[in-house]
Amino acid sequence: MKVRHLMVPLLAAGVIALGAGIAQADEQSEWLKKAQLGQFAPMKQDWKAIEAAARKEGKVVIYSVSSRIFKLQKKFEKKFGVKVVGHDIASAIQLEKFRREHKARIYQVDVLFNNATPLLLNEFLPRKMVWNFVPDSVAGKLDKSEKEPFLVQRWSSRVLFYNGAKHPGGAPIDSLWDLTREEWRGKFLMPNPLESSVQANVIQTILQHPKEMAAEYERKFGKPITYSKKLKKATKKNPLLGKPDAAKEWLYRMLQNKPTFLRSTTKIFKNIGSVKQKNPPVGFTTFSKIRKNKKGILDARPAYDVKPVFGVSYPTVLVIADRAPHPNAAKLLVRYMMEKGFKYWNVHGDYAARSDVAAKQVKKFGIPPFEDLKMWPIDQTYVYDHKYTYLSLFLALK
Amino acid sequence: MEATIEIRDLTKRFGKVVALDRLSLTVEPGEFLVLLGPSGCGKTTLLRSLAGLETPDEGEISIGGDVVFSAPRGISVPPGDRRVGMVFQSYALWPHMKVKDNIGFGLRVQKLPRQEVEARVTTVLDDLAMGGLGERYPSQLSGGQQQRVALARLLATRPPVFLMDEPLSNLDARLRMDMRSELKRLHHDTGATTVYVTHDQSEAMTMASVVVVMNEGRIQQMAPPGQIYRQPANVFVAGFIGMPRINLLAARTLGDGRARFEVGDFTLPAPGAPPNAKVFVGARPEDVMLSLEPADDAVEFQVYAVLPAGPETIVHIRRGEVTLVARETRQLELKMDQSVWVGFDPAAINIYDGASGELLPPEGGSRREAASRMADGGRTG
Amino acid sequence: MYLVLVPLAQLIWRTVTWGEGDRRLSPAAVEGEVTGFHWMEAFSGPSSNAMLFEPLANSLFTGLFAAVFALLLGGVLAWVVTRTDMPGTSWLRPLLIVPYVVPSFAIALAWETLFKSPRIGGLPGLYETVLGFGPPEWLSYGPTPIIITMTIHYFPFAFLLICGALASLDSQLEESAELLGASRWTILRKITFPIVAPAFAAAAILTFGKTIGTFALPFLLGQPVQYATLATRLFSTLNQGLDALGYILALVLIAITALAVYASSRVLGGNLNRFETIGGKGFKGQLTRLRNWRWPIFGATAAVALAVAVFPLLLLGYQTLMLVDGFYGFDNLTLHYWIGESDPELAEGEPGLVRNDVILGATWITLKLAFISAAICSVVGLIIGYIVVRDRGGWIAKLLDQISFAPFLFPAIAFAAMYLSLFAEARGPIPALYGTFTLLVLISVVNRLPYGVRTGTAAVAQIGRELEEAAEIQGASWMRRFRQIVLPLATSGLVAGMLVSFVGVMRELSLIILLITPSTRVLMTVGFRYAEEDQVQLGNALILLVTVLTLAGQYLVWRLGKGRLARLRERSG
Repeated sequence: MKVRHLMVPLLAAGVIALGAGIAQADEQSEWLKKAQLGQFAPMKQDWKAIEAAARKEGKVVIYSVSSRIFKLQKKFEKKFGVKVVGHDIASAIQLEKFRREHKARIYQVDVLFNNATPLLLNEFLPRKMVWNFVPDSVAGKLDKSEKEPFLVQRWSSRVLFYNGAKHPGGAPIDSLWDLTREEWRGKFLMPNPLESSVQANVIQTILQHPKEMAAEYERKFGKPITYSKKLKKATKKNPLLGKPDAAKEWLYRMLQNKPTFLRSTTKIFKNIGSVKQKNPPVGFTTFSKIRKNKKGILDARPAYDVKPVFGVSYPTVLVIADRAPHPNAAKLLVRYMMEKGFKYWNVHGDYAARSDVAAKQVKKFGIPPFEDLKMWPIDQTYVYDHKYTYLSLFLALK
Repeated sequence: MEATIEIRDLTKRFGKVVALDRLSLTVEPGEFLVLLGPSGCGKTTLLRSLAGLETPDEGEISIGGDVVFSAPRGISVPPGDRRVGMVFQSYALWPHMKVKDNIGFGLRVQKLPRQEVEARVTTVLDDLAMGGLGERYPSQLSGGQQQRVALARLLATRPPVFLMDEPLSNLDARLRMDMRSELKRLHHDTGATTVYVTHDQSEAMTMASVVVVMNEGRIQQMAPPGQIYRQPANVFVAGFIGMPRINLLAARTLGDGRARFEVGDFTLPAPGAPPNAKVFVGARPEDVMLSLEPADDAVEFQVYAVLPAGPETIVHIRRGEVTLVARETRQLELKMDQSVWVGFDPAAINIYDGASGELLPPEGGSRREAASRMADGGRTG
Repeated sequence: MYLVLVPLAQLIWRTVTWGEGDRRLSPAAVEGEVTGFHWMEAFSGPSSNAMLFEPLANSLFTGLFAAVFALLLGGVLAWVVTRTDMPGTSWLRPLLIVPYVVPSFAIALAWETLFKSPRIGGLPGLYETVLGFGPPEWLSYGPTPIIITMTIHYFPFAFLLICGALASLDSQLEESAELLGASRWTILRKITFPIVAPAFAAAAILTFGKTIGTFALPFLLGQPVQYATLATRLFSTLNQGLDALGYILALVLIAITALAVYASSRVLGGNLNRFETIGGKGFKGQLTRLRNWRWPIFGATAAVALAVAVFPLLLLGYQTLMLVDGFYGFDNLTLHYWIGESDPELAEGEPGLVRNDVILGATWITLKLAFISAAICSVVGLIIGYIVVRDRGGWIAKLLDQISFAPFLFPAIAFAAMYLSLFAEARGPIPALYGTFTLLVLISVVNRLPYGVRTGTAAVAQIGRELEEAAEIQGASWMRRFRQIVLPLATSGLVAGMLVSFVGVMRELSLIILLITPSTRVLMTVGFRYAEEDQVQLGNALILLVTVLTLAGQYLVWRLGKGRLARLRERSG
């Protein structure tokens, strides 16, 4: 009886899945046609029609990686008469939730505001579970990479900070290799690269640049790099990890140098920047935390001059969910978040994707232009494909 | 209100233990049948099987002509539909209900109108001299009162069959005596067929119209109390019934035609026993007659201990390896180690087969109660 | 069955098939096909040591030690509180339960505040502020603080379980030994302990099951120094999107707990519930006289209570009053985070607790959820407990007993994921519950069921069988018997079950985080966000709110049950 209990739903699910596959494709193109997305996207967007349709739809549901979505709700509703239902969920969980809903054919979300782009690009986009939509009002202000494969709202970054009160003259470090030196042993912070996907992306991006890391090693220490035994042994044991190189060596030495993993990026920022301490650490945290600096209490500064890079940048994107129940309201919200509504994300440390807004930010916050920052942008496909290799390498070198 | 209970070939096993072993029994309408036996003999299992709380493995039960259980026919009527009432050893009063709710529960289950329920509860309470206690909770009552509530609960639904599982064992000795007479009166007034389980033989003797002695899942003897006492059907019953215990002497009948037993170094007359056989001689303490003077056919014993007990005196006497217990109602002045002469009333003696332990039928009419036993229709199990 | 076995089957199925992203693991991956790759990789792959065995060893190490310490502490305190004439038991008892009521991550936060290592920078912790130098590193992070905080968090659990067994122990047993001239220690060792040993063993398993699966404590206190346990490694792998590997870790976790349960049931002669039959008779026990030791023992107990219950709460409370976190001084005190209006300079503009709509809304939902699921859980637990007790040894009873225990073994986050897909759409008679409050209730109930069943079983075991048979003979149907006899008589057990479930649901986070929608947001998810954003004051205020609400809820449930309990005390059959 127990077995039958199990088998019936499983079998039934299988049969349904088979039949549903064909029907689904039709359903999807039907929806695309109605939503005017994908191959049915018109040459010119008719915003009057979109707004009218959006008003009729009455609401829009968004999964947002940022809690600031709640601040925009009232204004948006006042302006367009469309209710914003915001869910503040971390990127990875957001996608997991959406994936399961979509599989179960519960179509309830319209917009995903998300920074887990490796997953989006490699799993959700090819499976036609999300659709790109670029409002033509802002298209001209965006770089091509910010319109394809999906619309980038802003660039965030994870960078190295130091304590400005202790080092008023400038950063005490100038190289990523400093993190492997005895001087900083146990004195640098970062989110756990096994737990935080952004930090994992940072480490993976560094691992993607062994040549640069090797050159920087030579510059810093004046001799070519040699590989430690443990790395050689690990790569030999597991061919999947590839050959030893400078980036892997850096990871190994960095991990041996006792990094401290803290959960909250705000906490890391505070711990670095807190003025009242004798021996402050350095560390990786989100660039935009810089807005939290407070005179006499917090003074953390970005270590712009660290070589080869002082951080890694990653986009936060807006995509429309497949089979969104309110596609027009979704388009309206996406456009709003790129225009008027951007003000909630217009903070010190985040760079708008729109070139005109970014230029204003540089002036307002007194920060270098994005292009001048020594940062590597993450390579979504590389990061995605090497996720398991990275995990294995990390665990092997730990 | 009268019902016959018929039990046929009932067997119940718990794992490897056989609690009831092909047991058959008929309880006549209005009878007060007591199931008596040592613990683990199966008496409670039998009672619970009657109630439907236990499902036997084989056999049949019918109550008042209706088959309530039949293994071959796959019938098992639920307890509530068997028209039986039960009193539990622990009383099983529901502590969260008032007395009146406890009593009225069964009536409410039967969906009687409220007024009727209340009227009946009041009547039953008054009958049991507990008027005014209806609003109390069981924990606010004394042990005797709780017992009465349990009875009242049984009476309220007026079942034709009462089942009682050691209902008096939780009471102190005095209260128990009082309740015995009340129960007897109750049985008389209702006329309900009653099956009563106890391990207390004096309770069985005083209450029963018929006693069933059980052991190891089988009926050892079924008879009126007097007969159970006077003529135990086998060595087990003989030993189980009676306080102080019966004197059971391993003996041998002589082969020389002198109808006598040989017990240790002396012989006794043995009316109607087969010659040259191993037997047990059973003599109740009151059938051992002591005299201070030597007499015909009397054997000399020494007094081992004297235990006065009010109207009677229990005397332990000894000769060599043989110890006897006698019950004396005369006021004999006995001293320790003094010699006494023992004689037996041949008519009161029971003789059991040495191998099977079964009672040997008396020869002729020489024994006292042979006639009454014959008249009883051989209802020994 | 559907609620437990199907998720489990799905979990196992995922570990033996290729999933969506698995082409990254091996070029041979074909989605949907069966493979042994994941298991091979986890157990004998190049990184299996770091991936599985090291965290496993760490889990066993911290879990075992914490369970042993929690048992010892809980056991000794239970004995002192229930069996001796120590003064002050009436107020010490509730205090000793507080650490269990407080969310576990709050204890970790308090620990961090106290023993913050200078290594991680920021403002000095209390220890450093007071003593002038930092605490040794092993005291800040790693196995030592994990074991200590786990012990603090879980000893009340053992305490409660053992208290129950000790309270129902007939003191005559102890007294008769005393008459024979046995010393008090001998009595404790030879009489008291063996009699409560089964209860003790049950408490041991449950406590071990909890410590080994604990997430928040090793997460907050272990990961800064890369000390991983199975639970935290499971979280990392799931976070990296490598779910099949994560589920294998989950299954290992399940296996260990199942093994512990199995082993102990073997030791106890196959019957975990044996101890419960000594409960419920309500013997009024004579208390052991402590004589000269009375006050010293009281002092020690009170010190423990203060250290584990009052102090952390005071610390958290103090932090909520600091305008700027980490500055200890009177000029830095404020009530802003409790009653303040929104101020863009502070807390990202979030208003104080009592004006905060998000918090207030979540409070209401949390309370509703906790009450409803606790009530359902204890009733369902009672029904299952009833079947387990009444049909002892029957296969249905055994099966139910085992299955109802299963959710106890599941990592909550995996469980939630399974539920998400299970109830996402209507299947047969089961409607789509996704995003509804009902689903939250459902998953909370199933997750809490092991506790409900344990307390239900104990409650039913105390009700004499004859009480029910008496009703059966009078023709009462099963429903009627259950409703009118078993249910009212099991009130005390029901209340106990509700208390335990109530606390659990109030604190649950990982279970709910996947299933949450804005309309079903609960306090813990809000609190979690504050913790993420390092909004210490609001976060701590929220923790205090949860603690106070939980205690209040407990009190309420307890009061509800108490009136009825008094009457049942004396003779329950």
